[in-house]
Amino acid sequence: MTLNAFLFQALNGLSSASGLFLVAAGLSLIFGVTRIVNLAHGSLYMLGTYIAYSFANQFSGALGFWGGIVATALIVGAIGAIIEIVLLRRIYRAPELFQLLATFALVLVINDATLWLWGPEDLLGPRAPGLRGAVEILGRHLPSYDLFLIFAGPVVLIALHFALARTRFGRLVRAATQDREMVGALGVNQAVLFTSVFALGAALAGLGGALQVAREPANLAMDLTALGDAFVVVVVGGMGSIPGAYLAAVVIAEVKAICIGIGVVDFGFIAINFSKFTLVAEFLVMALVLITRPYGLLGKAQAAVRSIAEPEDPIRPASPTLKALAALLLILLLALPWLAQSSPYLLILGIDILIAVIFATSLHFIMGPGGMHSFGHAAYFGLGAYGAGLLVKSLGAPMGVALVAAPLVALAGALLFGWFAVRLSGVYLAMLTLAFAQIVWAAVFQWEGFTGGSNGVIGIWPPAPFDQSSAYYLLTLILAVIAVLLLRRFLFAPFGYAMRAARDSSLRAEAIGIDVKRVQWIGFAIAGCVCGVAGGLFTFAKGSISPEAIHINRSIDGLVMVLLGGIQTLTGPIVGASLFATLQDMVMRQTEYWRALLGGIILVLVLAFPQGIVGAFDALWRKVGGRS
Amino acid sequence: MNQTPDKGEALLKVEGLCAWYGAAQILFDLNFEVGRGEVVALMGRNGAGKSTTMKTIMGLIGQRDGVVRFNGENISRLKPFENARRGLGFTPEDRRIFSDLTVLENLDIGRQPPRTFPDGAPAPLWTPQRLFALFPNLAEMPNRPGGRMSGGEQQMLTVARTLMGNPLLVLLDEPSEGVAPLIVEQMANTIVALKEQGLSILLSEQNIHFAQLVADRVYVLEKGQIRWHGTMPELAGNEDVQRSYLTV
Amino acid sequence: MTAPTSPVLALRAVAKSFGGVRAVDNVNFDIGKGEFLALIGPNGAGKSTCFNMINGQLKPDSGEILIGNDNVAGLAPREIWRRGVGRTFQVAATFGSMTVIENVQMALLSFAGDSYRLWRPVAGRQRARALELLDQVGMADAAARPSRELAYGDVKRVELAIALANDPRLLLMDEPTAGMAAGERYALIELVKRLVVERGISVLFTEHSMDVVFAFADRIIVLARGKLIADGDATAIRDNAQVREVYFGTGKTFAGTGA
Repeated sequence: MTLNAFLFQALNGLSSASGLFLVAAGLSLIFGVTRIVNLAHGSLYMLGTYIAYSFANQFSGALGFWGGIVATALIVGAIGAIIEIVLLRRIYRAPELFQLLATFALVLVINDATLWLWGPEDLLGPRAPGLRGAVEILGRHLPSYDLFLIFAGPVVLIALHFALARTRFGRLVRAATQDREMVGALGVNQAVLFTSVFALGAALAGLGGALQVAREPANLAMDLTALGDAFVVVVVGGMGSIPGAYLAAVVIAEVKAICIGIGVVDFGFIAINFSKFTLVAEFLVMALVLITRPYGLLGKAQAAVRSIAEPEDPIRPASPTLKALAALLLILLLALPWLAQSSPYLLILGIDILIAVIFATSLHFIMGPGGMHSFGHAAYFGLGAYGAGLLVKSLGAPMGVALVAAPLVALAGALLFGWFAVRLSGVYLAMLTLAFAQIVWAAVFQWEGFTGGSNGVIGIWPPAPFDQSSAYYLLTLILAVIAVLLLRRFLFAPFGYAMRAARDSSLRAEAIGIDVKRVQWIGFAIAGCVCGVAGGLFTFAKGSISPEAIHINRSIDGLVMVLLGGIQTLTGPIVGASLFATLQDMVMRQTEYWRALLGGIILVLVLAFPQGIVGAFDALWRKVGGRS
Repeated sequence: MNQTPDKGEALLKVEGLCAWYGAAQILFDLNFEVGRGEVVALMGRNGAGKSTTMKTIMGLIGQRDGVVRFNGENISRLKPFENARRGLGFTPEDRRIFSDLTVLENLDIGRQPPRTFPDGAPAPLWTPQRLFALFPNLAEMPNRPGGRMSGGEQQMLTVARTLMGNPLLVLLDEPSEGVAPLIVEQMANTIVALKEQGLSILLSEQNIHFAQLVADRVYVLEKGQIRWHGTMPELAGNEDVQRSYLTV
Repeated sequence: MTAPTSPVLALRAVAKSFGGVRAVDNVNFDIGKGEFLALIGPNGAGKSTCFNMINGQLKPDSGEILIGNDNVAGLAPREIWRRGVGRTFQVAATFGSMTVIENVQMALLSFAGDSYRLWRPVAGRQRARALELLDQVGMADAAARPSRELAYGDVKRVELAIALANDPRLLLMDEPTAGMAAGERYALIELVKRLVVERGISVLFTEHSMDVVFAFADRIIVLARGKLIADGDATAIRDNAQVREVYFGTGKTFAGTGA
């Protein structure tokens, strides 16, 4: 690559950076003040592109396009304000996880609403009036619009910086970022402040999306792609730092642009196509930053968020009653193939539920006792599933080998990702794990030659006798029982206690010689490994594995299962997974808009039980017995 | 109630106040009042419920019961910012300075319009200049970020920030906790000066030597209940109460 | 191991700055075996910084922190703990999801290097030793209770049992009596004194309650603006004009008649 070509590619990177910055800045701003990680932020960005498309098509000409972009930012800002007033305001005091779930429910609802309003096709907007041409720079043609975008980012950055540093609104935002309760106690109406900050952040996302309308087609996958990108930018730049967000956006966009610019390089013995490595490059940048500066380039260590959740009770071995019940249930489940001879579908559902149980129990292991709220557990499910599928497909391995390999592949992934994840905590860890899962998903999606791309790996059926659903059901049952009992055993052993000590107070755990990061890392790896079993079983149960099955939705499903059952009990994830898998099975067969329906159910749950389901029972109990 | 100064209804009147954290009840049926221009101390050891009482009055504890009257108005169901806008100032025990903001910016966050009592008398009006005269240490560092200040300086800033709202009454939570004897002494002098300006103060305190320097009356808390109340000289002479409930 | 004459802990020219401000400036002091040393000074004098460098939460910019003959400056807290330094916190707390005895068992298991064991349950490990420690702090009866239900004074006792689990030769106590009533305050310090004298443990503690300091410290050192300005026994410190000026004031906010 010549120097000119390199510089030109760098300019390209700068124009992409502006879009990334707008989304990430809004996310960061909203989180700073409201302490809510708005998972629907990518959805607002997507809405921005769709709405701007409609404006540009309805009202042609410069006014339609440029006026449309401004109007879009305002409309999305207003949507943000409505979301804040109707939904978020009710859950500021709820546990962090519930807030994340609520905003994810919005992702589902907005996605289906977009599908309903604009249809499933990609929609490419017109080119920008007045900026249709190109400018000759370094002997190449750079579209004028890209040049415009290069400047749009810094202009917004400077405007935001000025507003935050010099205005009373900015001072209030910065103060609320540190201690919103205290700001309220000093006479500031937080509700107004929160709504305006949320609207501003949403407007920025809408603006970012709208500006993309002339560059790339609007499509229904933009929401989560933008969200994943924004997470990476925020983690790299430092949560709460607007200049950090710009710096990180530039670094990441540049690294990607340059990878694409390098293209295929022939090293003599091997030719490498760097343009296929944008995701790996993004990951490496993030990894490098997190190793050297755990809170991002310009971020600061954040004071621990005041936790509202109450500590759980000490764990106790199962009571005789519970043991007897478990044994009874197990006998019933073992007998199911004979009981269900007339309705074979019951066994298929049974397999789904058991896989969900393994998935949820392994997630609960790190979320509950480990205190690490992973939003990317699907990554390890995917690694197990693809590990098993590809072994069979590429190497012709037998099912036994594939099922042993599945957890090992997942373990390797969990060791790698977990090493970074345990360096963070709270919502940072949640974002990072989600970003990792997004990377696994995208890698599978992009690496068509190896993984089959969007089609996935197909035709992986279990050999006899497991081609009978009754035999496969029993295999799944046995593995699920082993997984659940093993994880339970670990929790009662010193390791489980060390993990809970690290969660209860990492400072005190270190002060009695516990290597907190190492304990968490091992816990993370164990959970990933067990989750891989679920992935492997899934592949053979369905006969195939595709990117769809390891999408971020699966990570969120896991969270819902764990929360449904109650995070503070060891049996919770089993109950939650069974309930959820059954419910999902029923819902998905009802409607095409199952995402919106699922989102609606989550929203109802969150709004009805803002303190968590367990908390709701506590409150009820107090009303009945405590106060009278 | 016989210790209440006879100025009509008290500025702050608390009746049957209860509060809960989760399932645990922290405050049990508290009744007390603060008259206009009075400095009243809530005393008791850690965990007795002093801070919770202050937070509950301010509206920072969601689960509560009972009535709080301020200036004759029932403010029990109001949000913290609404209480602050009625002239109730709150200075938390852990100071809660905005560490990224400078001294002047911290003061600006607390700024509120001038205020009068219901009888039309103006409440003390505060500006950064007047506060710098009261706290000369702060005058030396108007542009220093809160995070770079010592504990004693932060303690002064948190009081100054509350005063920027021109309050009628300040809830002052443990002004002497965790600061050196020298600063404690300055803080006592400040409270006396504020009282002379007509400010009413509800103070929470463990240190009887400190309370003796500033308070008119005392309520002693233990396990969320008022166990004793009387004037400061009465408490000073009552060694039983001191030994049972206070840090001596 | 350590020669009998060498101090248990020694700071040699230790310094630490934050953003250009010297929080701790060339500080030197020793603690002898079995000594009860109080570290006092105004807020912002560098006491916490000093404490946190000794326990490993902060890394000094320069200087040596010697425990026995090892320079531990910059080691992680858990590595310093392994060298026989126990600690208690200003705000006492336990591992809230565990029972009282499990808290102590966890510390003992960690000391035995068993934190990563995955199989045999905790219930059958280190119970006798944990009960013994709880008995010594008078908390054996509460062994099976969830630790988060304890009263604050009892939490302080459990924390002490945890701090003794690694047979420390030095105990760091950050404001050990903060937030306690007078009666509890003296009882706790007397308990600490009895336990450490029995075991020959040295104690370094910070404290704002001058009554406690004067009553219990063998020696007192005073920090102000990052520098050590005085080192001596109670009488010497109380009569030190500089300490009066920067720290005590007129003394009317504490009784200060002790010792």
